[in-house]
Amino acid sequence: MTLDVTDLVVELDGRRLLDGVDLHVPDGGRVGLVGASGSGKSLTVLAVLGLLPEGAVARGSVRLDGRELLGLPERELARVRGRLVGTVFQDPRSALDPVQRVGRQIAEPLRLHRLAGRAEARRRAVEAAREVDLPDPGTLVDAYPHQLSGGQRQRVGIATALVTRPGLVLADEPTTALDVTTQASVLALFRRLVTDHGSSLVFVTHDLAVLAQVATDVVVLAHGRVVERATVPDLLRSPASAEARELVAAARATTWSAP
Amino acid sequence: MTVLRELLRRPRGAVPAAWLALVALAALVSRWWTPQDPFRADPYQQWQGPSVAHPFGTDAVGRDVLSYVLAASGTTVVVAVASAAVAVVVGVLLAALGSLARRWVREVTVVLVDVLVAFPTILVAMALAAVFGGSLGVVVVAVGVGYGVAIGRVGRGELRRVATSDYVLAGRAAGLGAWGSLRRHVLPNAAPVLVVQVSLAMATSVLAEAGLSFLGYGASAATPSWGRLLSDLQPFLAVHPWTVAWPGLAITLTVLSLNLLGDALRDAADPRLRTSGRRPAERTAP
Repeated sequence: MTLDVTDLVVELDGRRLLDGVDLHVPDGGRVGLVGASGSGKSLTVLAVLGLLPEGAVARGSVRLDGRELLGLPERELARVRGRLVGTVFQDPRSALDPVQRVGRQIAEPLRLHRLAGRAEARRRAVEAAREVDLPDPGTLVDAYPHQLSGGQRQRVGIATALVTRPGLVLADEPTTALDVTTQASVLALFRRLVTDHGSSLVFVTHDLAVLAQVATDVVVLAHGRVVERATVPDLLRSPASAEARELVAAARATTWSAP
Repeated sequence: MTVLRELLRRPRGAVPAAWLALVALAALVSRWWTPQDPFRADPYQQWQGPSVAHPFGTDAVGRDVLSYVLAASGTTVVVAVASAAVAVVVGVLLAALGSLARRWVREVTVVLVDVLVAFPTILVAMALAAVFGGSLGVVVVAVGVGYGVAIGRVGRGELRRVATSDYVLAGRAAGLGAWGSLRRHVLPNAAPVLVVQVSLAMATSVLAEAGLSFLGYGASAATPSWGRLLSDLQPFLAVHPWTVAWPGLAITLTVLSLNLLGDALRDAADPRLRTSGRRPAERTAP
């Protein structure tokens, strides 16, 4: 699926949080969205989903396979979310409903979009749990989120986002809240699944080392504006903007300081 | 069903539930049958101690205290359930308006709730009784609205916390609409706090009914009530402690059970607080 965000402006209480963001993801493309905190990365993702915070107003254009999403009625948007667009959130500790069993959460998009009956949804939830390398998926789907580790929970989050085989996957810093070893395995899994399914990907991160593992192209945001767009190798080799140089320097510093 | 099973498998939930079930049963049965007529005075049977004929003894006019206590349990159950129902409707409405509605509606609701919370429930009940005369309806309205406001206040914060949580956003991103999100994620997560409040509302209404009847503002003389019986017998506490103790015991046990049941229900409804139960997957390394 292609995603074309053109001249996206988001305002909240008279402040301009996004100022003319352009983002283009070709079918099967994997684009990173990087920038410091507060640069508008997550907000861009929420604007694509039509889930901006209360009072925020979006203008411009968000097209999914050529279909305009901005200004679409809520009912229509709900049909897009979860079915055509899967989303992985940042913090697996808070992104799973604590009182619902894991399997039910994975199956939720299937049930909501009437893609499967109850038994079929459970079977596919187990299958999705197996696909993300969760141990003993047949019984794990009956667990509650607090019985899982952080890495396991994020795998549940990934399984939920991918269970409907969406054409576009949005990932909002899915590995930031995980420890480094877990990060690497979750990231590898994520990349494999997105590539296998042939989904397009928007991957939000502030970590270029993470970015290099999943994305081919990158858009750098600063203060709600796009300051640079490049392929990932080009950006790492010769960052043009001041913000990108800073991010590259930070990535090098962490790589070199590793024992 | 899971919640009910979880509730009954621990003594902290099962014991109060059993007592309340007993009260409910007594309330039901005593509508048609009590060992003796609870209102029949027998001048030859004053102040009898506990016996086979009168297990709880008799009072100053020779009424059978057991029959009266049983008959009065109906009043208690009706008042508690009705007050709780009013409280839930008022409370959930205020909580939803104060947390999920448009901004100006939220702000007006919050101010309204803060003003209403300042009036003590018992005082409101006495004021209403002074205007409309004492009746059980007064108790139900006063406790229902009074506790409804309290539920609205606590519930607003809870709904707000849940509604702005990541998992609700994640549910929306999975395709849930606003109402679906409320039903699937918001209410189940806010429910434990509301359940505790509802059980407190029931406990308060039992106490308020007893207290107001004791003061003469509640049930009329024709309506048997634990509070009224307590107030009738109270002057004789030092002389006939065994007779006077029963209505007090019934009130205490019922209020205590409601409080304990509320806590146990909250624990049973929240999988993180279940102390035992199935562990489908133990914590393992990622």
